[in-house]
Amino acid sequence: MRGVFFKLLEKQMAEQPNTFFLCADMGLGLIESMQEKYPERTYNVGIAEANMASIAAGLCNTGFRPYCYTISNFLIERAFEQIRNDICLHDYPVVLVGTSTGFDNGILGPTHHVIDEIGCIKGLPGIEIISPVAVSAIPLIMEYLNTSDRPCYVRIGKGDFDPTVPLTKMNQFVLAPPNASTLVITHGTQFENCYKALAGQGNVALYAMNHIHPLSTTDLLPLFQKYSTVVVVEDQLKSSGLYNSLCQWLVEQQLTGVRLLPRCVPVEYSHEVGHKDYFEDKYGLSTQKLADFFQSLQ
Amino acid sequence: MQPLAPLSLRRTLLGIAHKSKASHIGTCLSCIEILSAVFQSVDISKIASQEADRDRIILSKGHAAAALYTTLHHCGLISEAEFNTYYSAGSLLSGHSNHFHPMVEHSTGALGHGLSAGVGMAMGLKARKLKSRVFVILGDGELNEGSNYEAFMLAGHLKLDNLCVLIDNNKLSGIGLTDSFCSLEPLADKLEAFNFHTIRQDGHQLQQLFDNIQTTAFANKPVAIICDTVKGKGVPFMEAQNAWHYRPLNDESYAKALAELY
Repeated sequence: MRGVFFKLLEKQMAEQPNTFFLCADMGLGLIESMQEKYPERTYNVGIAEANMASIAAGLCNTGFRPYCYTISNFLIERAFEQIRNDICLHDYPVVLVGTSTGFDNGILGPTHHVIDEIGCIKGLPGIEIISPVAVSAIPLIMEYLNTSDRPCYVRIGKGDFDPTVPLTKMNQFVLAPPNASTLVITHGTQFENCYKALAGQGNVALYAMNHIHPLSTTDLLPLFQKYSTVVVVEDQLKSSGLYNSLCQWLVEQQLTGVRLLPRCVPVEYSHEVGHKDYFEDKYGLSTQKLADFFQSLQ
Repeated sequence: MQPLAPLSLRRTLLGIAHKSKASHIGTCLSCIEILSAVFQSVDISKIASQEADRDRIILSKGHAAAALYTTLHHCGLISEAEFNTYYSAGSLLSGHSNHFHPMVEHSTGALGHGLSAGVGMAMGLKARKLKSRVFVILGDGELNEGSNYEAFMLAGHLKLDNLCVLIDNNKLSGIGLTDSFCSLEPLADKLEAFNFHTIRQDGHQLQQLFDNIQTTAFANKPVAIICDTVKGKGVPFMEAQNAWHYRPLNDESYAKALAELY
């Protein structure tokens, strides 16, 4: 997904001279072409994420739309006050592009587990959060970013999965069996596991969300009116991500009769290390564990 | 030079400080000449009309907002009526500088943000090939914030010669002498090491400040002017007295301040 994103970003650099790219010493093999073609609008600020966020705000002040790129947790959590005060408070349209989500870097240890940054940032007024589910979503996301004038966080997980039928909307049904009473909602790279887990089950619906914040009541209300059980699958702490947002939204909508179930990371930092598949198995997010769980609901 | 006389600015500042009962009087008084010199160095009309090629002024030590608003008021960029709303409910003129007022370039108050934002502005102006300058006013206590050094490092590397940093070195932080708990010295050497053209001067010498701002523009390096100042400058019983970081003026102390103001 990252490769496609950067290919489209480079195209945008060519077409939109107000696009400015910053990175915090990340992007080997992805940014060199932009550095070569647009040196006056491409810069590696070094390992200084907080500085990068405020610099992006300053660039907006002079009419640019900056994209800031580094590993998701450093991008958001290291630079939180800069994002709050210099970007969101000023309503500057900075695009924060994070690489790696969930347990993409699980073997590197808990400092690199990207499981709590959504909750960190989603409370900031004005911010939008996009969590790409598949390769075919990336052009849709770039198109969306081109029309948005908001600060935005795009968290791109490692993966190149695409469903059989490419995505055509930011948020959409991917599987919608007519008699299903259970709906799975997911975002980011957990979409791949959900899609594979539901293959052949035939009676559970799947809704893919690239745009996860702020929530769209127009999109969500029909879902919660139609399905009696909704499962949220995400590689994020239960206290931090989409499930957490939907809990608040459900209360505000005063909807009753819907069972909302989390399939998230428990609220803890892991003491152990392991690759992504280790953590997905541990927390019930692997294809097999999800398939078993979905089966148990029927 | 335009008439932004420090004595007049201080008199106005004391007036709204008394009216509002706001704190941070000492830090406002120490940076009056700095603000005066900077605003006399820029084209005010371009700021008023928010031209793309206006010079940018960021008061990074945002708790001195009253001094900034006072200077903007004397420049005709904040009306008398609005100026008098400072620190009151519904006003845009908050205790820390607030960009929701259109004449304030950037909101500050959380320290250690203004310089990085200024570096971004300087980079943006250069990318747009605009011959405008960015002025960032920092406090000495603020220099304890590590984010400043990320910004100094990059600005020096990029040779941002449209960036001028002015450090209000009043030597007092929130609750004590800056040098007593986390020394900044040798500050000039440090800034030189970051590839800044560094000048150290008496920060209350207005003409010298103005001249240094003029002569250092676009000279292939960013500029840092360490302005040695006195917290509470101009009001003898406030000078170098850190109680006036937080203490507001009452009727009695206001009358005494006006009587002794120089």
